[in-house]
Amino acid sequence: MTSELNLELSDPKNRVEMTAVAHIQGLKHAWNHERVLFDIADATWFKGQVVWLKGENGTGKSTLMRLMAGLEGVQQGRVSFPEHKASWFRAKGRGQVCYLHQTPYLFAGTVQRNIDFVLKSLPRVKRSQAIKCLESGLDMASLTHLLEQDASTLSGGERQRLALLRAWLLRPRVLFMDEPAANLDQKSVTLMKRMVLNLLQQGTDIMLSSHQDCDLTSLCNHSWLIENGLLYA
Amino acid sequence: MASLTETFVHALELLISGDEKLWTIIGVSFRVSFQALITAAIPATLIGFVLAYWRFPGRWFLLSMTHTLMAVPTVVVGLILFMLLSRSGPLGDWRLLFTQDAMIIGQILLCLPLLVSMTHTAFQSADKRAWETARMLGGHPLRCLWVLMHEVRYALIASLVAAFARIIAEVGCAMMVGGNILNYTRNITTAIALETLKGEYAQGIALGLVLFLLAMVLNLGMALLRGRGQLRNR
Repeated sequence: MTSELNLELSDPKNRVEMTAVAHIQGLKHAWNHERVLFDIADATWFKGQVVWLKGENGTGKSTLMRLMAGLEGVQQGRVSFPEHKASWFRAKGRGQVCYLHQTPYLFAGTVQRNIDFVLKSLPRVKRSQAIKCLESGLDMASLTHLLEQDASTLSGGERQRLALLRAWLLRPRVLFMDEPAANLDQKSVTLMKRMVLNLLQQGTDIMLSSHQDCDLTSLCNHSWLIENGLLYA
Repeated sequence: MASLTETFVHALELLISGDEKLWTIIGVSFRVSFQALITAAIPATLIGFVLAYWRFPGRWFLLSMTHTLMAVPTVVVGLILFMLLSRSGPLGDWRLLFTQDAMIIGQILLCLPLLVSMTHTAFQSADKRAWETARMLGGHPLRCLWVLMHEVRYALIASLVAAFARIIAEVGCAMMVGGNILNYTRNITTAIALETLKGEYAQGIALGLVLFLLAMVLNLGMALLRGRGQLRNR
């Protein structure tokens, strides 16, 4: 999978024809309008690129992904997704761009209730598809036996897997994963890798941030580096 | 004047015997306060949420106004409403003065700032990721709000309890706009004031006991909720 993606991207002809997932123009972000976190003149994330967002702690990896996901207000510049229009207020626009927190938030109640939230959020057609593949998703995330367990009692790895399972059921067009493998054991990382790979095969564009090499970053075929307030794409 | 013990025993007898006049007064109190609370709860929750999650010009002014209105004495709210609803007032055509509807409006005005303030605090204290996660998972805005409300449910219930306690125990506004009419707008607090002036202490004490028991139940309930909320947050 990884090598195929690399071959595709290494060909300059392919690059010209490739459509953009997201386009960043003149994006500048500062804390309290004083300390500039980053200033990105121009960057494009092309379809087929699985981006590994690199950078030291505090360089703004999370902020950049949150800005792109629409969770933070853009102070200056522009982030656009040419292929689709994500909008929270239109049914068609919801759930197309998804961001997974570094420490996932699970809703109060059981694992099932957390899954139900996604299922009920989906449009009818997508919902029946999601229900059909729920079993395989639970199996992939190794959460089948925990369905009735209170989500607050899950371990770190289980929480992260449940968060990814929710996104997996949602099948977003674009998925941002913020330090998904931080503090996880090898088993959880392997399980998550399977799910991420599955999402990639289904056409989801993924960007993940990590300051260290891991199994998940091995899926990436492109990297962006934030350093000294600049983005090297 | 009968001794305090005799009055107290008489008050208990009135309560237990199901004295019609007494229980009508209690019924008016509960009906009016429940209706006011239910009417105010939804807009207050929405306003509290908007104040907690939206950044817009004038937000801090609105918050300050909410806190200021919480401190306005009930009798002042009653006075303003009286002037608005009296025949010569701008809303005189509504013919609402000295009706239960007027009492409900007064109590809505009294509990709204408290509810807004407490729901705002509840939403403000919620984990920001709860709202973001619900949004990112494609939830309809109202479903996201519902999920968020579920996450802070203990604090929201506590705000309802506190607001109910405030309006059922207030006397100033109910007296001004209700008029203390027997079997219609006489509620627990206005009846206590009247019966005491008449020297009918037993009924006053019986009604006071109802308020005391209610306060105890509400406070115990709140303490329980607070305990459960804290346990969950650990």
